[in-house]
Amino acid sequence: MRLQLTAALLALAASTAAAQDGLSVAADTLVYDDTDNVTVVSPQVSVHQELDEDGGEVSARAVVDVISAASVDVVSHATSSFEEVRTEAVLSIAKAWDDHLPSFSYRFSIEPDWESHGVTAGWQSRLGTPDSVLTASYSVTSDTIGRSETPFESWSRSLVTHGGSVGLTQVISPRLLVRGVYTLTVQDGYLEKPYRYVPLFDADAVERARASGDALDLHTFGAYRLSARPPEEVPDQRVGHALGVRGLWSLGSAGALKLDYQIYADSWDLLAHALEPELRLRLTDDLQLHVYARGYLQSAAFFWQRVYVVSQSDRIPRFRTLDRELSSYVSLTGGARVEWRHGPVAAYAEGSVMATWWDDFLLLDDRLALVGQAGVRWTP
Amino acid sequence: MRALLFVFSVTVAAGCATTRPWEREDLAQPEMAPDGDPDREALRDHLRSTREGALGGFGGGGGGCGCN
Repeated sequence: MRLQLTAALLALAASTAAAQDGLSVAADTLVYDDTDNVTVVSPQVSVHQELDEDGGEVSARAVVDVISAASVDVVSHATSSFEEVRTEAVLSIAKAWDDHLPSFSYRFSIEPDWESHGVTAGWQSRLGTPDSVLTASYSVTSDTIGRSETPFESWSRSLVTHGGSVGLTQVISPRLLVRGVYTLTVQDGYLEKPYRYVPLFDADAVERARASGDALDLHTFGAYRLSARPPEEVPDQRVGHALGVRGLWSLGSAGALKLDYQIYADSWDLLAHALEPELRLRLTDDLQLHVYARGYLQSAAFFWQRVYVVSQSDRIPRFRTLDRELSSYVSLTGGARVEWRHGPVAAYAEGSVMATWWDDFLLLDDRLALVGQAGVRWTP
Repeated sequence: MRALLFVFSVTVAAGCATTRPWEREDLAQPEMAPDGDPDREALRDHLRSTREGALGGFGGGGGGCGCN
């Protein structure tokens, strides 16, 4: 039904585009599949109406995530699998005013156990020359988290996220462009997942496992854990700082080289680095090939433990989690994208492989994921 | 961190220089666009935000859980 609605929206937008200057329509689809039995299919449609030649436009975008999962997070809680649909809509407007481009957007997202509203106000200014562009934005998001098949009125928690960013894009030379962006994110509220329960062990059980030659993992932890399995509990506030630097170096008629580096640190002591080089090759005037890689490395949050061990007299640890994205891990991605443009039509197709290794996660050691994405734009 | 601050300072300082219009041929090529297609990147950024622990920076994530 949703796919039919998406197709109808696209057809309507396309027919409208044919009759109006500056209007463009686009359709994209992302497919994700991994060895942890998670599949995500995300079709998306969008419409853009140009308001001026300096970046001003009004746009609308709608995306549906169809998620099918039987990951270790699911099966370790004695659930076989689940399927879920998330729907998101975004409305945006930007209008140029001299050397400035103020913008505003509203985003709404809903799934059976999660509802999210967010607004973003942005500002972009040329600093007297097109070689220097300053950007700033502020966003606030209000999330209501519930439980599947439970009305929000019966059980819900709230999460408010504030985000502020400032950036500068600077032309250094006729062939080199550099951008720096700093982002501050403050999350306040319910940061747990309501379905996540953390297994606890006592020292005797850990010793028994060691004596039996069992490594505590997805297949064995159930035999050694204590009967009590409390819900996840993490701090109610998280403050994160991210600093990113992007460099673009022209290779003349051959294309360009892009390099991103980003460092992130937060109040949970999580420190992350990301490095992403990309080679953009111009094969013909209409055809480009982009080849990229991404390396991501992070340390664990201060309360992360692979195995939470308690003694009979101990209280349950105040903070406890089974969220692998809060543990230390390394992820490597490699991929390529072909972009083609001819007259009013532009299209792309992309494929990538992402490998992730956890060195301290009870339920999973590694994961291999395939990601495919394709899209078409029509600008009559 | 100091290296990043150095790069950022050099970038700001270089703002005094201006590229002449006839020197902007390479900069005007589509491969030199600092931002990718926003619709395409929105899909990728949301997926990435559910697979990486860091918040903010380049990209951003969209809303909702995206739990697995």
